[in-house]
Amino acid sequence: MDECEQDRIFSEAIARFGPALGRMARGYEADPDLRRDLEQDVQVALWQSLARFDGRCALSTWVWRVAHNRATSHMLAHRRRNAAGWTSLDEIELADDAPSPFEAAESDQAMALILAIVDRLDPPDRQILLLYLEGVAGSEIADVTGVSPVVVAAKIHRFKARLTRRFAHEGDIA
Amino acid sequence: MTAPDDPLARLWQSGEASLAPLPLEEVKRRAATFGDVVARRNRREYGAAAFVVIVFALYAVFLPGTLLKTGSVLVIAGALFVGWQLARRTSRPNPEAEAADVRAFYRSRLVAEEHMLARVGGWYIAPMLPGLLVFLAGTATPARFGPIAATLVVAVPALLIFAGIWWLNHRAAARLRDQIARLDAPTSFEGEN
Repeated sequence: MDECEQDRIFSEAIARFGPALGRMARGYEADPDLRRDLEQDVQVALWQSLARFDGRCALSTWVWRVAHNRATSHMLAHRRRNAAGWTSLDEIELADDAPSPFEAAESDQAMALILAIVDRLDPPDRQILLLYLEGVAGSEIADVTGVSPVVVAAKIHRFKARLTRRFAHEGDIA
Repeated sequence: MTAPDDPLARLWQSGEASLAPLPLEEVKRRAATFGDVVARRNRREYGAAAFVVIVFALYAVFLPGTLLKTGSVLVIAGALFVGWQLARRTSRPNPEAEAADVRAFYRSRLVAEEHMLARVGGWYIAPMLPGLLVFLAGTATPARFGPIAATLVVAVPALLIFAGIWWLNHRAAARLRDQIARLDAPTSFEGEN
């Protein structure tokens, strides 16, 4: 791929996925200054990687892979600060009296609750959850993350069940 | 899988986070100097190695006695070896690997770090140990105790410190092995749906 084409695809990717990449960065880094560094690193990594993009997978799959891999490297590099609290989705328990995001949907607590869960997840589960929150289809999440679609579906199901227990009881979400 | 009207996704996407795009020329400039990122990340370690080299070079020149001079030279050699190993072993951004699926990429990072930590005795402790022991023997010799007793008095704390470094790194490597095993294990979700 010549550099003009690389530049064109990069610009297209940033235009299409820029806001989503910003939210992804927030899902990996809470500190604003470090998050800005991560966002810039992701853009550089994406431009570099596109020199080898051959269209055998969707551009979105490529972008998500590069972005999450660079974010995972960022996570590992700052592990001393954060790792003690990492866990898998299976091990996260919400307090019974914690509001669901839907109950708190009209307050600033809603996003904080989701971020509090995201910030506790180890990289494999965090990747799946962030892609789900971006509305990426399960089959593409499987392509990006390298786990089976069955596992992706089960993880998402479990995540939704944990977050929306009481909401689900009322039959508003399945 | 995630419907456009999924309330969780809608809530997430309504957040204020946004990406500040870098100008393309800036992206290219940073891409051209990406090795600098690694150098910056390791600056503290390299700075410590440089400090050791400078201090022990001065010792080698100005301190009296064969043991002190020999120990200083061995410490310098050990610090240079450790610095080289650090540069060689530190994982650096690899644009090719970053296009792999994220599970494979994450696993490869964990494996590389586990190897580095589990082998810390060989590439970090062993190269520094001979020089420090010889140097400490040199400092102990003029003491009022016998040279062997004095050497033990000054060497034991140093050995304990190295043992602590070895233990902490092996404990961290064991944690990484647990994470790798968890990645490799068949998940309990298989067959649930």
